[in-house]
Amino acid sequence: MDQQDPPRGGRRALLTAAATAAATAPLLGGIGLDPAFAAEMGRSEKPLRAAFSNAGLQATWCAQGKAAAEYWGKLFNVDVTWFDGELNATRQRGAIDNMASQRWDFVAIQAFGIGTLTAPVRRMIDAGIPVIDMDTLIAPLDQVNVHSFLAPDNEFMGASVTEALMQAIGGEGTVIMTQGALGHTGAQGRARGFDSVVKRYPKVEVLDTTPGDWDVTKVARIWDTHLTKYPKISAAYFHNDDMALAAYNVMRAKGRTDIKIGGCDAMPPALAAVADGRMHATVRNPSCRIHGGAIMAGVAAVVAGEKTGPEGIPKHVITDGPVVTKGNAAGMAWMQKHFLI
Amino acid sequence: MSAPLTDPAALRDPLWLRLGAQLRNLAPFVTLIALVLLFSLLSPSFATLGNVSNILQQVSITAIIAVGLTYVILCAEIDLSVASVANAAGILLAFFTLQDSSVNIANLPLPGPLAMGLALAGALALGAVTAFGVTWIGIPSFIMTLAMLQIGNGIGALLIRGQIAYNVPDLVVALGSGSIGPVPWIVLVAALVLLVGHLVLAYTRFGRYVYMVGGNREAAEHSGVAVKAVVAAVMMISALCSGIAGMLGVAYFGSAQQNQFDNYLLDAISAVVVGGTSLFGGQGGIGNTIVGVLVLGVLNNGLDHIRMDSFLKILIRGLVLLMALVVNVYAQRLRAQRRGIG
Repeated sequence: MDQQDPPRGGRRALLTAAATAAATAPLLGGIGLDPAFAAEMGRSEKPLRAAFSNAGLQATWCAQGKAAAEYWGKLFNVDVTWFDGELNATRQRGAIDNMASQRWDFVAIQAFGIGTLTAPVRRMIDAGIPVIDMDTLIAPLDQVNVHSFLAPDNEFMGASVTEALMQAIGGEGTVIMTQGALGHTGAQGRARGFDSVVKRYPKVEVLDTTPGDWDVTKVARIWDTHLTKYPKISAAYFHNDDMALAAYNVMRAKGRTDIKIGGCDAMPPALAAVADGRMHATVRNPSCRIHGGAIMAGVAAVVAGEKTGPEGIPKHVITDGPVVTKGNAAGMAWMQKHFLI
Repeated sequence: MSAPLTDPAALRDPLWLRLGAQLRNLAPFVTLIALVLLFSLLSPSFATLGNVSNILQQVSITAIIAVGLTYVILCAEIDLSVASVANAAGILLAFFTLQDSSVNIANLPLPGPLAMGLALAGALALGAVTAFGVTWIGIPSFIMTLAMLQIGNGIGALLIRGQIAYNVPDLVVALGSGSIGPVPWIVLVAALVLLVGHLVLAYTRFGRYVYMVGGNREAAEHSGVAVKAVVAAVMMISALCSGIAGMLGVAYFGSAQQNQFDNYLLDAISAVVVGGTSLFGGQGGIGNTIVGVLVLGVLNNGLDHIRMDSFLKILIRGLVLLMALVVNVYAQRLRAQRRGIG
């Protein structure tokens, strides 16, 4: 690949470079890279070709990630081609097979089904293409030699929102956790985080942990039953915001809006819900940081020759986001608008 | 392809009328050629040997399921349980294979051939229940297989319990994800299943009965065809094909998990119908299914080789399917009109 030269072409190019560096700094700070390194890494003079795929663009988190990758791609002169996973493991496998039959400077993938993409990902790695794993494991890290795995600590996310809920109910009462799909590593981590916090509160009783499978229709049905069955529910933790907001609608219909709700992802609708008090808290799963970070990692690998390891990018970069309550919801919305977190 | 022009009177018809009569067969084939040409022009990476192998590999599982479904649709029935039976068979296979300790399911490890036999037997048993419900109890196949879809998903969920199982017997791994030279084994298995499916349909008495039952059930009954037995048999063939596809699919994807095969239901039905087999039964065949499977495979693959808005791809797939359905219904009407005139 081309060696990076300093930006050329007078004031416009200088302004572009300055704007790029300024916009990049917070994101790089967020994923643990030194902004000075970005200046060294810079844009590629020749456009780089990158292939991206995430679980499915129907999900707002993924759609936001796509927008972020394209935004950061433009800044770093990366032409991003998208292969939609369509929230379907076999469709995504087909898309990744097609991705693997073409030539890319680097690729970034969030697997919808863990273990379903291993063969084509190995083919790309064997062909020397840096593969960046985003948010969910493509396969256990000892099975595929990805360039890096950018993901939040799901256990931390589950624990931090649960802690916020425990504080809100004064450490006593009844609580329900509505989980994502049980096979999803994110859901498993969030459940572990929830459990680790709840067990420290002996006066808190967990009433139910039925999985909602990320399916808002199913969640509405489950919560219809919960609200009929349990006259007193102090708090509820949901493995994502979409499920939390779906359950809130059921609660509102039954006049049970006294339940403290915690979610996960901190997407704009949830930020609005936190700001107006429908939800108590959520935690940011930083879609923009992960997808934008994948652009940085790919550019660094291709342009600056960055390798995986102590001198380069860690095998696993933890991209945690903060807990969002009324106090920081507005700032979080602004940062998302500009693809910073 | 079905419905050869053997009637000498028909051969005397003008060319456009003869082509019109073959619309059901010609349209999918023309669509396939057009798609191949279009994508070859638009993307240099499309028309390569590697990508041909890629397409064949991608359509193999759909093709195996579609063989069974072709029999069902030729009988003017439907099987909505194909994907869930495939999923259940794949999970059953994983359940009977020793899994890593990190996979937190209580499974029952057995020798590979036995595990494969049990997985296939499981699929056949589900097919037998469907067959019983449709033929002996008289539940419409749409409803019966809808119930079986739930049952298949339920069995899968119960065995896998939200976990992901990675191990299946070595033979299945070889057939599902290995290659013999440059040709993936799964493509050869699919080709074999398609060939057997075609030979049975085209050259056996059972195959003729399938067409008779789908073409005119009452007439078939009056001719002494055991209609119930034929319908029961096609339901079991469909389940068997799903079972084979499910086992190979688990190896191909590298893991067995819940709801993994969901999209194969619509893909397989689409492939059969896009290929030109009549949804109303009695017309079509494995040749049509091969073309249908390839049309969908080329379309899915080609759209990933050209620069296009990701959100547009799904719409385009839907529009091509709609076009095929319109041709299917139009061809059916044309044929009925010709029969009326004759």
